[in-house]
Amino acid sequence: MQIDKVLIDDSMPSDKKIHYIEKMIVKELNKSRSKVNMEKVRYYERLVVEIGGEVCTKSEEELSENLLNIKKKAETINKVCTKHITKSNYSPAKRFAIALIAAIILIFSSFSIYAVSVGGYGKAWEVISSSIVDFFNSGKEKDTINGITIIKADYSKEYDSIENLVKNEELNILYPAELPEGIEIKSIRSISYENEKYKIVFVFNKKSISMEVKNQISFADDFIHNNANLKTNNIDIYIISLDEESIEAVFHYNELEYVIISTDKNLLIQLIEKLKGF
Amino acid sequence: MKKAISFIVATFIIFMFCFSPTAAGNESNVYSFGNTEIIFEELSQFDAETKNLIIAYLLFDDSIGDGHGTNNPENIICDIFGHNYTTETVITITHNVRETQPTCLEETYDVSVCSRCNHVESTLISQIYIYCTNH
Repeated sequence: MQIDKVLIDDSMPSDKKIHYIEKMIVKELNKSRSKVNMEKVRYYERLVVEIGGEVCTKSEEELSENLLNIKKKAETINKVCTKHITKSNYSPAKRFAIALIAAIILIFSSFSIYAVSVGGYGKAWEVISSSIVDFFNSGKEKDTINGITIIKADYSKEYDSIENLVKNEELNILYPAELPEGIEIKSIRSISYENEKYKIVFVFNKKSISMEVKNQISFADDFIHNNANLKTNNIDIYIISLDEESIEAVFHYNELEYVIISTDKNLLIQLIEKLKGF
Repeated sequence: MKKAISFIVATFIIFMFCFSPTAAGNESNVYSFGNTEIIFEELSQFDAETKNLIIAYLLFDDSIGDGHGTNNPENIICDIFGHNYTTETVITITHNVRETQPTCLEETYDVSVCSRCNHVESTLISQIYIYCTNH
């Protein structure tokens, strides 16, 4: 390999010559590994020696020690990089997919366990689906405090007043239009049972009062006439003390039997006197 | 005491399983036991098995009418979602409660049965005394 001679001004002081050659060496060594001309480097070294300078050379041991240090540093850097790479390898989409798969496995496992306990996947699904439907329909209560609800076997509807309920449902019964303070009608049940028998039950907010209208006559007309102890709106009413607490009133109107029970006799009479629907 | 009641109820339920085909075959909604009649709605959705469960409950369970109901074994779905109730009105007539007329007590209950765990609960909505010549 041909080496260009280095043009150095002889008038330059030695230290400047050496500094200049050093720069040349560094320049050569900064080239990529394949392009470095080591002969040129050695030539520059010889020049430095000729001029009177010294070339710093390291022993094999020192070089090995330096190499070892470099390796250690490289390993540390590699570990940090690996950690970083591990974290960044899982993109949000991938993490979401993993979470989704885990959730599906968990749900499927739970469902399988429940299916075994109830006797099959079909039955388990039937139960769970009905529960979900019921959960979302849970707000639809039959009874309401603000309005009055008519509840039949296959139908229920809420009305804002007892008058509207009786009129729209064509009940054709006497009903308590004015109630004593603190007493409200929560709902009205229309119950059909055997052989076209039916009864209408007024459900009050207090258990101390009950009122039913039935098309099944249990008290004979004569019995009520003979034992009547109250007459209002031209209706004979039989009032009996059942025990020390409860009083019952029974009367007939339009072939229906009315039975009202209360723990308060005055309240009972008040209720009867304010019946509407005649 | 609880074990004894459970045994009686269980025996009664088994007995009722034998009885139910007759009642269902007659399409009757009225069941008589001793001095008590139990009347279901005409269009009752309860099947014979559920009716037997309700009858046993109304005749023997202490929680009748209190709105809480039976202590059934826990069902995990019921624990999570609550009971899956079917509610109907059931009438009971207890004869000879009083010595003079009206002698019989007619009570009306809202009875709810859970289709999953057979939990039964009832709420007394009305009670009247009726003139009665039976028994």
